[in-house]
Amino acid sequence: MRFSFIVIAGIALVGIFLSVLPTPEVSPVPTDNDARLASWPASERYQIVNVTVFDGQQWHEHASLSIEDGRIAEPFERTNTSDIEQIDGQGAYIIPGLIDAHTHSWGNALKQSLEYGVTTTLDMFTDLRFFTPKSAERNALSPRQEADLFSSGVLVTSAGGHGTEYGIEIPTIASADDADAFVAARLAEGSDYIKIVYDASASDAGHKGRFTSIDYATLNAVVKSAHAHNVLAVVHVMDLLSAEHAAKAGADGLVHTFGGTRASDELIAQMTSQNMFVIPTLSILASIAGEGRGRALVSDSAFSGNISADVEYAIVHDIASSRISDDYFAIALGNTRRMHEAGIQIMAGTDAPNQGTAHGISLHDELALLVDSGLSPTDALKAATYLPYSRFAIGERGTLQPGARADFILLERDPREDIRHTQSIRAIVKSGFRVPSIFETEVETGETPESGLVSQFESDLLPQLGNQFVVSTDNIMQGDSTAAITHVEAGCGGSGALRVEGRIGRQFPYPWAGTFLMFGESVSSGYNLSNFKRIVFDVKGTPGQFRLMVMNPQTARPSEVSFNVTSECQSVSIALADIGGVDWRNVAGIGWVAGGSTPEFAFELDNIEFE
Amino acid sequence: MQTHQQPLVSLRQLSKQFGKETALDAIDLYIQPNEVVALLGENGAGKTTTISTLLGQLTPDKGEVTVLGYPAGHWAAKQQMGVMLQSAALPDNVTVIEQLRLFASYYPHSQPLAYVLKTALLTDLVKRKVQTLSGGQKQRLLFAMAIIGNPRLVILDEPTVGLDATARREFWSCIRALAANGTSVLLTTHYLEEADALSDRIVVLAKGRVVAEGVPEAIKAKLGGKRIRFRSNGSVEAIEQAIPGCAAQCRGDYIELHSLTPEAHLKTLFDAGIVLQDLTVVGISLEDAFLHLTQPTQEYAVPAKEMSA
Amino acid sequence: MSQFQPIPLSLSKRWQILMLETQTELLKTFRSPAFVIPSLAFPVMFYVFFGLLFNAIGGNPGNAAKYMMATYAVFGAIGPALFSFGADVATDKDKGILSLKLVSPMPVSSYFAARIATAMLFALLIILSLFALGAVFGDVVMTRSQWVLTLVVVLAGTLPFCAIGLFIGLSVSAKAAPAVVNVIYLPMAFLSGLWVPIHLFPNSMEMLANAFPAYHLAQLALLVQGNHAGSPWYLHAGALLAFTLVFLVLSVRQFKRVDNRG
Repeated sequence: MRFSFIVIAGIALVGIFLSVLPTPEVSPVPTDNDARLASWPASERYQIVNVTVFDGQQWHEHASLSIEDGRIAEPFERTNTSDIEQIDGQGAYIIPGLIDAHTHSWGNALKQSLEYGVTTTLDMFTDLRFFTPKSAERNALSPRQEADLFSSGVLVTSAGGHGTEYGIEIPTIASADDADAFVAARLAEGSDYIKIVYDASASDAGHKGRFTSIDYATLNAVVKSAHAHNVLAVVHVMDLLSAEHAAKAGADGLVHTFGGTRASDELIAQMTSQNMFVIPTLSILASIAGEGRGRALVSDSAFSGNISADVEYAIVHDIASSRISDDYFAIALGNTRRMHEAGIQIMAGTDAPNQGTAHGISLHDELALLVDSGLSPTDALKAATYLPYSRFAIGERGTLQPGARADFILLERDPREDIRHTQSIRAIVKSGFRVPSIFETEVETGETPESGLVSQFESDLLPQLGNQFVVSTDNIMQGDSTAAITHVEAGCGGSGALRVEGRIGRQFPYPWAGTFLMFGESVSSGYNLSNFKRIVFDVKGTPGQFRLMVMNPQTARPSEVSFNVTSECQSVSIALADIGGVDWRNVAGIGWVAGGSTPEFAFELDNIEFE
Repeated sequence: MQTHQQPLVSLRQLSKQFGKETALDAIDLYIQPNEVVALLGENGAGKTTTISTLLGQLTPDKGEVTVLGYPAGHWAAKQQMGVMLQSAALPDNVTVIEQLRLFASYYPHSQPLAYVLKTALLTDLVKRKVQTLSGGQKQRLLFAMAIIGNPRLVILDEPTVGLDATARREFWSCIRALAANGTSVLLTTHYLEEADALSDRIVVLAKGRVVAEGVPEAIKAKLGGKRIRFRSNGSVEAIEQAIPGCAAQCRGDYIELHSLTPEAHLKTLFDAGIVLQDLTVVGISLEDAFLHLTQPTQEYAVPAKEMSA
Repeated sequence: MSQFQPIPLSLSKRWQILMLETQTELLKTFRSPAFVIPSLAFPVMFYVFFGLLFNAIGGNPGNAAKYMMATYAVFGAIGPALFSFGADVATDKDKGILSLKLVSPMPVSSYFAARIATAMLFALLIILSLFALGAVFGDVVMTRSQWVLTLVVVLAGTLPFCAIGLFIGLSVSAKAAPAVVNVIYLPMAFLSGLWVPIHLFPNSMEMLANAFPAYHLAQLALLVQGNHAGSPWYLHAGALLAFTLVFLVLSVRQFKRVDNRG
């Protein structure tokens, strides 16, 4: 049957055809990784051969990389290769661990960064309670599964200026006279460099912005003071005039570029002559412009399919401001291009985790954006490795010269061909130790409860599903809201109910108070609720809007959805799919809380059930 | 008649109306094994309706149809039958061999292609596309498709319509070869000559009824003959006296008479001294003959001895 | 000559018939370039003009090309289905080929299965050409399962159009059939958003698109890549199934008439 052969051959051809169609860059197969992970040496002295190495400045073909005691060693002599362990790199491309030069860190930021190959982050304002302990750990060479944190600590801003709106009580600066004392205080707190927020237009009559700003004299004084203390002074600016002032004041770098206006030739000339650098943070500007970069990362990148629910939620929702011009982002790219062409050093930073960006993953996209704005892939890699190393006091990070910390990434594919190949992560090595990448982190799945019934509160507050109901308020964020929970006899179902009473305080800008159902002993473990479609409960109480909060273990922020309460008993039903950013496979707990709209509140919950 | 054998096809009291028009009126038709039956009739006589009923394309209003022991249209009947439809054409850009191979695949016991090609005189045309074939060659291809399944019964609906004399002769030889093999054939035609040349038995249809049935010689006797037409000094009576039972008729100036043996009758007339002017001798058309057969009173006498032939 | 008893067709025999029937259909089709070239070239050409050139203009590389690749695949795939059934069945019917086959012991299923196979083979060629263009010139990137699923969805989705074509083929004359098919095919393609993305249409036209099976198939194909308008897959699949059933029932009625004409 000749025709049958043609048919079979045809089917085979179609199969071959389909198999050569382009797919998102393939992440290494997990089993492969396990095998490679298993073969990673336990010793602290080994050599990776058969690799191409980018040391932060230059590429070395057919090279090897030697590691000893958590640092890059001089290549071992050929003669004594027998006593050191060798790993076949199988043609991988090794680049230094990436550095994100503009982040804001809390929660699981450092762990998440590292999973994407970002081994160092330069924070541009965080809470000291987070920064101080993390900065103490960063110089250890012991195995750690977090990126190293450097930070400006508290930023320099005026009372009512940008930076004061986050609910963390921070000191502000009033005048140029305070500059020395202010800088000294920051350095005493451990700040690695000084970050200044400056908006030249804030002093204009008729200024419409939300924030005040320090004046030029203060800016100038703070920069001088930082230089007197031998630390860098970097400036947050969002427009041309402010950038020109920052340059005039002698700042070391700008931590954003700006859209809206073309950079003036004078600014570029001045920045070039002063050897200023710029961290354009195109990722956040793209989010402001609503470029849909996050959505593209989710649907169409090497990371597709491996992105956790909270990261996905964070990056797919751009800020998409309506108050900017259509060419805002194009101008930002153009400014970056012209600065690069003028020889100004460009560094990669994301401003994660502001809306539309997330730690780690956004840096890969920032590299792609830098290439889009005219940098070569190698220049983009330098922007995330060697340049931060050469300008910031961050030790031997961002380079793979002998003596540097052994923080590096093995890539399957050559990033010189396509910068997006930085996403083809085979392995991440931190201080010589292999750490799990985003492709290897196993999703923890919680226990699956047998029944979705939480409680009808017949006789007490003990839930059938979960561990216990507890009071949850903004106290953990230094707020002063209060709440109390009691069991009452007559609830919506006739029998008992959970009563929550409380008061919303004013100290924390995003206050909450209410009750939280913990599924486990702590919030580090949870339940798999992915089989359920909705949560249903009866509620009555103070009329107003309340919130349902869902927590995943180890995520910084709970996901929330609002519901309305009236003085009559009513049944509330919320589809779980409507609560964005939750990984329902592992939920630590769920809370019912009041917010600022109901300062004095009370409500009764009954018949809580997952369906 | 081999009545002891089960007929291959039996149509009993078959009637079919199309609206007010009666297409078939209580038709009986039997085909015995190894028999070639010609269904003779004018266009519209009901031949194609009969065939359609037999193939199961049409459901009769009344009557029974059994084909090869099965109801009409049954798959088992189809497997033992080959059909050439009057209206069928073939796809243009398929070759003879491709078309035959395809049809051969439908039958469980198809004949060897070489044999079929030889029978249908297509051996030299295997690689030709249908669009390059002449009318006769196309008909022979359709014929080949009808016999490829090694059928017990072949139905040929007007197989030689539109063919010239040579093509028709070639086609006849194909049918003869088939009949010689013992296959039963039901053939429709409106050529008496063709029915006579090919069949063992002729069934004459007119206006949906069987008007005559018999061996070819008998039917020929009924439908054959010539019309003799002349002006004469002699009277009709004189002529009828000279040729007994000739049923001469006056048509204006002319006298007409129908004769199966015109030469002998003319000699008789000459011998009787009757003067003939403006003499014409023409064959009568089948149409006239059919009309004549359907009329209850027969105008043309058929000698009794010929009926028994 | 009558020593053979009738035997029901075995499965392998039926398969053999289907193969031969398909082979003959294909030979017939490929020997008429007037049909082959336009049906292959039009979707490909349109895709190059609209899909790839639009893509070159807009941002978000690959997405417009990916979107259009799916809609033009649908456009390209339903054409052969409508024509193979619409025009070819009408020709077979008018020429008496259909009658001849019906009085032969050919299983009716193999006749239709062969046509479906032919239509799908065409669809396959068109889809694969579009895939190649999209991948090479449009920067289209999808996961392996998305590629395969798009192919499978569009191929399977030609079935409702086979049913519609069949109804047309059985209902109108061979001369009228190509015109009737075109009158249905081209406006439906446009109004279903196969040429221009549906979201560029006014709302009322977007609503109207729901009336066309091509819209539902396009949405299914877009659903595979996550570019659909939002309705769940089972609504679209259900609509397609309904179209198939309705036209099959209509065709069966029409078929009985053809089979029983004198």
